[in-house]
Amino acid sequence: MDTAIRDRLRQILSGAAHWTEMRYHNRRSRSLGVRKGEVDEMNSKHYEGVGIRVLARGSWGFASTSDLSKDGLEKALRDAEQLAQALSERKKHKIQLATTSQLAKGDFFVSGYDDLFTMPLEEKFDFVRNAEEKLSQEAQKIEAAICRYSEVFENKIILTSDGADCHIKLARPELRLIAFGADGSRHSKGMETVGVTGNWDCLFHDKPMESFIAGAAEEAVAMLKAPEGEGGKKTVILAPAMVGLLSHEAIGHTVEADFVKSGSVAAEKMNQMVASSLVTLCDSGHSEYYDGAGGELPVDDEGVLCQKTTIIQEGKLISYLHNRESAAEYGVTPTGNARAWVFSDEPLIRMRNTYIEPGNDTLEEMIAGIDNGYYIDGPGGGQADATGEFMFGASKVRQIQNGKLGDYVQELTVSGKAFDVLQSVDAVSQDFKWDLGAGHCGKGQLAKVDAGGPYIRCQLLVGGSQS
Amino acid sequence: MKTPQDVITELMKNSEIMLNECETTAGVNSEVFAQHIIESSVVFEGTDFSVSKSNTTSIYGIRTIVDGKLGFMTTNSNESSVLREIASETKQLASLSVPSEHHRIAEKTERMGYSENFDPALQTLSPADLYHYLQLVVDEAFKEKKIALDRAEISCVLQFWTMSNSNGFSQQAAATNCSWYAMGMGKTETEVTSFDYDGGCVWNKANLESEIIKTMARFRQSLTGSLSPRPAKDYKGAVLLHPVAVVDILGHAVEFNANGKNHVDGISSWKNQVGEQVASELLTIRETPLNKERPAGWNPFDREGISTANHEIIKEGRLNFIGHNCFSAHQSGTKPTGNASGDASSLPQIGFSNLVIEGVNNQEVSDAMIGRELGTGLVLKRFSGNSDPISGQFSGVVKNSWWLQNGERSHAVDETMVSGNLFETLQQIQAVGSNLHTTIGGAQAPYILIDGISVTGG
Repeated sequence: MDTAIRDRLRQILSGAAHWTEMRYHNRRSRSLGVRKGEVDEMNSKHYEGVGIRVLARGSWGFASTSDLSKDGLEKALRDAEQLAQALSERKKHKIQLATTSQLAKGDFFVSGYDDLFTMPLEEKFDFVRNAEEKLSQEAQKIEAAICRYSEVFENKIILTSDGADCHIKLARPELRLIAFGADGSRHSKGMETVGVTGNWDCLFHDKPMESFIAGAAEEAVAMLKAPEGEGGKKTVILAPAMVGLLSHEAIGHTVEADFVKSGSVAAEKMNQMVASSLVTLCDSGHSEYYDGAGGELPVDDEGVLCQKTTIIQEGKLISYLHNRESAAEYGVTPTGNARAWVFSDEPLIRMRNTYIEPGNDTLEEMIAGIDNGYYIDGPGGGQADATGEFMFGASKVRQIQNGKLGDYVQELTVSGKAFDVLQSVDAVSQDFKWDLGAGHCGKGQLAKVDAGGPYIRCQLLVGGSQS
Repeated sequence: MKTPQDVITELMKNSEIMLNECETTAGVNSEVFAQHIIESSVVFEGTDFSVSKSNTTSIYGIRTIVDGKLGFMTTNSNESSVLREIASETKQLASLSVPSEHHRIAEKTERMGYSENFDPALQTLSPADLYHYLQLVVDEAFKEKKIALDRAEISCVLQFWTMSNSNGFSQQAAATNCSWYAMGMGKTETEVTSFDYDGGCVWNKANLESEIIKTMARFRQSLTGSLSPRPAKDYKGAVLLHPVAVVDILGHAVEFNANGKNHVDGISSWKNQVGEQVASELLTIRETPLNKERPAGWNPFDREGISTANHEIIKEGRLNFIGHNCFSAHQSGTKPTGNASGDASSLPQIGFSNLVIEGVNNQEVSDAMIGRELGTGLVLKRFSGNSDPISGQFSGVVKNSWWLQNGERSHAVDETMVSGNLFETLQQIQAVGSNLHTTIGGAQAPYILIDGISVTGG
């Protein structure tokens, strides 16, 4: 099937009148869920189609279709051409694309796809049932539990008029455990998640299932009696998941070139010191340090090979994230950051795996250096502004008093201005962990990303109670 | 051009193919939810048009229950052979599951048929028309020089959907809508504000231009009002919630805690409290799925085909209604309420459409009056943070918000966080405005003055 589609796309592309990109996308996904002993998900989805983008007279036209016949694809190509030509009459600035030697040719199959695809669904389902049962019995105050497993198999063929011709396959499994605690009128939640690119075993690279169960139960029970935290400007330790969220939300979005063009805070800061010299921040299509990062991507959706892009090097801003259009505008090489969620979406500039590189400190030393602060983990939602002001929720927050790790407090929101916070970093640990592979980034479309890093110590605004 | 009936007929025919494939075995109940969507859109980024797009797609979601075991599959193929294959695979998927007596499909009722909220004038909207209306969005936004646009977009959608099941029950609907939004920031030579966004959605062409003008005036006002911000003073006490924040903070909590499945599972904080006071008696919250003028939430029947109806979820502070789908209704020993949510790509969940949050006032409470009642303090418009509907804790950064001094607007606020507990907040409502404001998602809410909120300035 893949060969037949590829040949058909090549044939149609050869007749295109303008620069054209054709992207066949076949996505199979399955999700299994058990909630309080009942099966609430036994789902399978299969979407297949082609997105065609045409650059005519300096304007984009995009059409998509699930009709994979020759006639259906030719019609979509004509639609995209007509939309581009019609738009060109109104478009003021004509688009150009950066030329690149990094156009992908050949097959790019990330390991784990076949393993995961052929692993019996019964085996995965039994695992989910057992995990939910164990979690619901882990502590007396667990009122209900949920275990959800999902897996996505991505199969893409990308061709462009100027030579990209590649086939990409990868699999992304994800596991989510939620415990609901109840004690009288108080209710709480504890959650553990993991999402990777690879096979089943990649899910348990960092810890076994028992640790996920214990972690979710411990959080739910602790939150039933946790007091509210005290608000204000605090010295904090951010765990790798929070460092990932900071890297992604607070920095990553502000250096996406489309955001920069709109006037993000990073627009005026190229080649300036924007962070402590302890901070080196990157975005990579590869899984740096160890396999399985959830945003792994060998080739982007413009057919450009993905590389590691260093955004901040020892505190200095040295690169934005680009697609081919923005790269031409800024006179740089595309960084392989053009991504589309489904075939009916056009590629946008998106992150992949975003992280801060490890440093030389130990976590113990970093905690010992705090008189009154917090250890912050358990990322909730996160958002950033063009100003670099960000917020993110944190559900696993512990007090640090006189250099010692203390009790949990209720979940908090932390906030700051991205570059100010990075300037305040005074310690970076030797550890490294990918820890944001579950869930998605949203920017009009979804994207599967990951993020992580070491532990860092910095200053943040913590939203807590006022007396 | 196909008529709505042509498209509906094709969806029903393909659904029938899937149902027939499933019904070859006894003890099998099946349901197909099918959608056909035709969408055209144009995008404007920064200072220029960026892309023009079109997409046509059909999606079929088949749910099969084999001896109480659940299987569900989705496909976007229209080919008969693929549809049969998918239906057959759904049964295989179900065979892996464990049985539950609560998995159900809707019974056949007399209330079935075709509904529409369809304007043929939107069906014939050309790409040139869409450019024209997006240009209007942009021009209206740029009427204020201190605004920079990140992105604006307009989409015209023709949507057709059907539900048919093996009990011989079926429903069909067709709708048009045109939606738009602008996202941007206030900008001067020396400062850039936080992002804000606004937009709207209409079902007919006649209202399109006037609604664009109205929503973009709101957008301009919000962004220019966010210029020259400074942190709020630290305090714990009363905060005036803007309608956008009311929907964001209160709306989501109500949806979670009035969800029948969450009641059955014991994770709703309002478990066993139907008829009891869960909020201030000043507050009433309704769902209005049949309101055609708010098309994003218009829904004549739910994900399982049950006809929807307006409900008072909270009536003068008392919990009055719990939403159910077929599963949670059977678990609870009650009837489904038309609150199965979702689409062809998902199993039925539980949700509410077109929320209206309103006050119970003996006399008119204008927006200015409720501001004077706060006196000095924070007016919270947008809330970027976490709100946990289970514990009730919420905490986040304020956006596009401002400070009131003696009832008068003093300055925009930034670098300020708020936190509190939702359930305590619901009991500590001091005043509710009389004016209902429609928010971008279609929900309607007034200004609400609440107590017990911690405000932390930077």
